[in-house]
Amino acid sequence: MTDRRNDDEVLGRALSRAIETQEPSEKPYERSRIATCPERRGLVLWQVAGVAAALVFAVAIGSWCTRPTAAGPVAASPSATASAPTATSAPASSVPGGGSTVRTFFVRDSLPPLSVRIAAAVSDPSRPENSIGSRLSATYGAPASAVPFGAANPLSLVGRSGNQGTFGVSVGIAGDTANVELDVPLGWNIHGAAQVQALVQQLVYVITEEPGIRKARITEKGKTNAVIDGLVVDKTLSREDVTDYDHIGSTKAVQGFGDATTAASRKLRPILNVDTIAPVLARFVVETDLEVSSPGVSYPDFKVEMRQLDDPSPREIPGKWSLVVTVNGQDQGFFDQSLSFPVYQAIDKSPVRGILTTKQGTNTVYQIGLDDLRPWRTAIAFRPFRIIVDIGGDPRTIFDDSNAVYAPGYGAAVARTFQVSGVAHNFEAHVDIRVLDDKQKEVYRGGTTATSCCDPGGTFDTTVQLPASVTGNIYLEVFEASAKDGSDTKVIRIPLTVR
Amino acid sequence: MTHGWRELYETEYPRLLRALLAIGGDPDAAEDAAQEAFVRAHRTGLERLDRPGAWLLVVGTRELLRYRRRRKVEDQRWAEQGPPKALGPDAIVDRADLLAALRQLPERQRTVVVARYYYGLSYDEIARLFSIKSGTVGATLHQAIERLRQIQIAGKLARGAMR
Repeated sequence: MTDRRNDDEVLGRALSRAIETQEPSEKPYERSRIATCPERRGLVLWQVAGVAAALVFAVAIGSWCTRPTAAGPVAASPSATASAPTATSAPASSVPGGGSTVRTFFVRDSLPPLSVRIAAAVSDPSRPENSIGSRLSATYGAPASAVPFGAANPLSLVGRSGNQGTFGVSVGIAGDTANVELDVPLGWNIHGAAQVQALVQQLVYVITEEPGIRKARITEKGKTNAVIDGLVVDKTLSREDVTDYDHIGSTKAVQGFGDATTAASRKLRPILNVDTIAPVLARFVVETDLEVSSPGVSYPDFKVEMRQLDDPSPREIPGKWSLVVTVNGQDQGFFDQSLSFPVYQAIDKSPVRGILTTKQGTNTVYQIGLDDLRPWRTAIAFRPFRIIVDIGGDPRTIFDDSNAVYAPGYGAAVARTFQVSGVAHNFEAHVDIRVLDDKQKEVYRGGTTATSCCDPGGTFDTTVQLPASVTGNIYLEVFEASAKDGSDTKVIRIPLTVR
Repeated sequence: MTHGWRELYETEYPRLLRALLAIGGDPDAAEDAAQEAFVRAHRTGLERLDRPGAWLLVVGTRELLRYRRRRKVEDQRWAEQGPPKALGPDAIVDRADLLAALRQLPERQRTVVVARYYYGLSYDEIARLFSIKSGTVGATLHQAIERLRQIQIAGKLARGAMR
């Protein structure tokens, strides 16, 4: 060992001792969360919707909750309370005003929030303060049937105590920030870090859904912050601050360079799948009429980039971000003469709001309106040539903006023969695959080749066949053996169970 | 609750708590993240945890650093503490210096240092568990140690000058 490495080890040991000699207050096992609240752990987040459904409250958000303020939240009137349980099967419709729907968000364990439209009433939708208040009100009172399977509505628990429920909102706007003051005289009724984070995430998404609003500042009535089960919320937060992903989507463009000379003959066919390739994944494919067989043969120029939507100016596409796919070629609608461009197609399946298709010279531009700035990645495939753009996906199976596994899903039960698919940007397009048993013994080793290497990346789809002796818990590892030294890189590890 | 969970808690919780305290600097946040890591471990199932200690460190660290808001608060708390006061023997001051120096490192370096030296994880294990390119682990560690050394030397010089 060199002197320098020896010195490093000495310093490392000193640091280890320093960490060990810290004297934090240790909580004995008997008082730990897993020992004291196992029943709450089960309810913490993902079963709360069912609980909320069983409790019916009068939610008097009422007049003051949407009272507009010029600069910051106004002092909330205590009149916005209700205590006695009241039979109401449609809480949203109990809000004064005409009937309509608003977009809101429900949260999911380890996955990004889900946007859906629910019934609501907005007394004066031209005022953003009113819209935000109404959206919060409608979300708070949303019936369990409005919450999609696998999602939860932690906001519906706020301010509930026993058979009483009280929750008030006051909204003020300052630039692109909404200052939202919540009145919870009976307490938050939110417990544990996971539930607090879920609530904060939901609040931020619901509040910032308003056009022109990018950030939310959440406070309790009469305070400069909100303290939710010990967690202090005292900063303005954007959607990007509360994302479930390890990183937000890249705003750097990805380009594919091909041959622009024969663009006019290229017919483009857009295809969108949401939640079908994999949960939480939106795949946008532009299929061409070119029978290109390999990366060495010419294909159309294209460019993919993420842009922030410019609200509150009039928007042609809804959403907070837009993934813009520009391809040298003409959309099939141009050839069919059945469409008059630009064409907007509403999708409304989270995270995709809709797709606006426009012509720009010899290019077709597809703008995909999105809920948020979630990670995305590109790939190309051949016969016919296709440009593939994947948006989102399960955060636990994404390595970076280039490599991700879509199947099998995280924690899935599989047969001994199962498909492994995903996207890779690897040297010579090689994808390594191995499976370990619960003792970390390798029980399968194989590999496959993606449709393209490096940028803009390729897709892969292969079959893994395990020996008959393999049972129980296993770990699938998809990775790239380093071209430099053979070490494992870009490792994506997925726990599975052999059924 | 099984005997296995108690055993795991009593073995791993003190170490996890100290690691998270060293990384974040906030006792309450460290406690919260440590407890949450155990809750998530319980939800996942003991039999599905590869190396429970390392798994808890990864989940606890992510929990600790989940919000930028939290990080900012922690940074402010450390900043408010200021440099360690040279009131005790040098050994104690050195430890405080080291911990304060650790907190001056970027988040990733801090985590890798704790994983390597306090948890004794190998480079490959750190790369796999924290989803870092394996070649980056060594470089990150090297940069972190260099920086720690510089900060520590600067601290000693400053104390010496005050005597």
